[in-house]
Amino acid sequence: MNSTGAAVTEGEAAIVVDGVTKLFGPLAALREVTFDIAPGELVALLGPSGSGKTTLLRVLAGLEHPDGGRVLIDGADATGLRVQDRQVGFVFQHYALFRHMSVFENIAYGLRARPRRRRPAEADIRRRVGELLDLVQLGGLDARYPGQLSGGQRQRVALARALAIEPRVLLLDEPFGALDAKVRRELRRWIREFHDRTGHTTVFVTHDQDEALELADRVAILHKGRLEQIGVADDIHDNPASPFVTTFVGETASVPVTVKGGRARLEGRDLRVDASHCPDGPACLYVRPPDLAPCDTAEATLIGAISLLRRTGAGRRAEIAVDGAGHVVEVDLPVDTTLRPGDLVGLKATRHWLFPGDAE
Amino acid sequence: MHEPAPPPPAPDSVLSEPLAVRVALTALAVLFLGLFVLLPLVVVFTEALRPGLAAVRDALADEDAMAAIRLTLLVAAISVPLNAVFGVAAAWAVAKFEFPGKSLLVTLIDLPFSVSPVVSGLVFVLLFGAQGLFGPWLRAHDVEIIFAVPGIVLATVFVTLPFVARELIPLMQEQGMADEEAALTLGAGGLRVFLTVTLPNIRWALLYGVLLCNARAMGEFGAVSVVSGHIRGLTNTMPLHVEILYNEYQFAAAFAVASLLALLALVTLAAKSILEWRYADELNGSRRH
Repeated sequence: MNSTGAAVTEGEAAIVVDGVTKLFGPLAALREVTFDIAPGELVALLGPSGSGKTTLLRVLAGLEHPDGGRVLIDGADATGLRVQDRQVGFVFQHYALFRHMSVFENIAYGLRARPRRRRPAEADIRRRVGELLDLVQLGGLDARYPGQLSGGQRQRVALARALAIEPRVLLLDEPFGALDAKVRRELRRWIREFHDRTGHTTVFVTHDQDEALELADRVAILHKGRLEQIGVADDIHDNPASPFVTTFVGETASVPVTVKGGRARLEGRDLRVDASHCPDGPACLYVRPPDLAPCDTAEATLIGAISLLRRTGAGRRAEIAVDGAGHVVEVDLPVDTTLRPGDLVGLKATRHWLFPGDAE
Repeated sequence: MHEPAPPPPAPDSVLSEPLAVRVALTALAVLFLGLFVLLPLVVVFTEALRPGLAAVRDALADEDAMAAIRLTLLVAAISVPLNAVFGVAAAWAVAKFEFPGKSLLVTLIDLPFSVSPVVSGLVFVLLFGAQGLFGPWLRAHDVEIIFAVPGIVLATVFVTLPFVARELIPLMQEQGMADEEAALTLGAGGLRVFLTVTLPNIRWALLYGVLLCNARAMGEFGAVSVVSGHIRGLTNTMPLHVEILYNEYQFAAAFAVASLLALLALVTLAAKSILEWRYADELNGSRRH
């Protein structure tokens, strides 16, 4: 898909996803998704609902069987391996704690479920559960029941339970989805620290781009079952690989333009944008408010009249109807700006992206 | 998991009626209940006890009465476990899998509730009776179903089939698959998952369904009456025995056996109420009975 997809060679990857396709009836939930995850990496699967991110996570866990492609864990083909034999730790969105078992029994479940000859002695189970409770900072809560815990505590019990089986990879489905905003922030930081401390290869699913880009080493962006891009936050922000990624990350405005002979034009005016990578025909210019500044119309990329001016926290946000075509671009202005609604302004874009085809 | 229910609205809300209306409605409800539920129950027990405890004991110790009690217990002991297993299996299939004909299965499960018990009994006579579909074959192989214990069991199983399944389907649908999947990822095999995760999650609802199923299995009259043949001491269940005694003007004995059935109903009701009060959350978010 792109150069950052393969961070490591196949031999040393903790997880290799190789051309994975998953169909639900006639619908493709995943289409030939391919990427690698390095040992100890923290990777986010990011996408809108229905993008296939949770399906991909479930394929990694063995809870769904792919209709095509392979999944390698620690270099060995795990595609045909049963869930029970995969040794992956899975934390469910609503934690799926066993409500009739104490915290202790929840965490011990994976140890007690082992075949008899690999099952630890009762004393070892007690010691191991105690260690895990300390690890997730829930020491002393072993006799509680899930119903007696807060959301954040349940999350950490689910994590300890998944870690009890000494998983080769840790998979988290929307780990912050069921929590309120304040707990989310705390837990986000805690998960990052926890990951750095324990070093498990971790994949988590989220629909929140801030969460993904702040927390993960690399972010894989999925859309309609396809992997659009995988890369570090800087890559995703600065070099979006597709129109979808460009609009999905950050506040992005799109302006349909026409490319002719390597120049982008809007309403007949040359936008002074390099379009050498676009064939002649329709294309779309993407810009973000922080990259735009008012300038003299003679050297502007976009020209338009201010249709709305409103106060935001630190400054003023202007909506500008660009080139009479009715496409609204937003730009941040200082509080003491002399511009007024109706004024014609030129906008210079320090960064912009041009993709061939119609708007996303 | 569930948040505590919000406190009930203040009594003098806009929805409250004038005092007179409230008193009238309450009185009407109490009167109705008293007349149609409480009074008959009281009559059953007073009639049973009128000749004295010794007479009740004698009536119940009667050979035919004992046979009827034994048969009723036997029928319940066979049909209730069968329907418990069927109910769990059906609810599991409906709640956890997508398959063609699923809505048809759910509709069929309700059929025994909507069809008259007499029809249920007749169906088995038409299938297994002497003139029935399998009648000649059964007679040739010396298998007795109609007018024998197997027929009574079949009819009872059919009539009580929905109780456990209907109790479990909504609950298991609401609970979803996540708990089971979590257990699988932790390395547990299918049987272990069922015994340690699924069964504990549904245990109170299962008990509730079994309780109702049992009450109906012991009390069923219509379907059993059609297939039983009313052979005294052999194919008479308790409800049928009550009818026979009553028709023979043995009122004291009839009420004695009837009081035993009524007692069963009261015990079931009490156990049901305790379950509902103690385990409301685990039975279901919204009660339907």
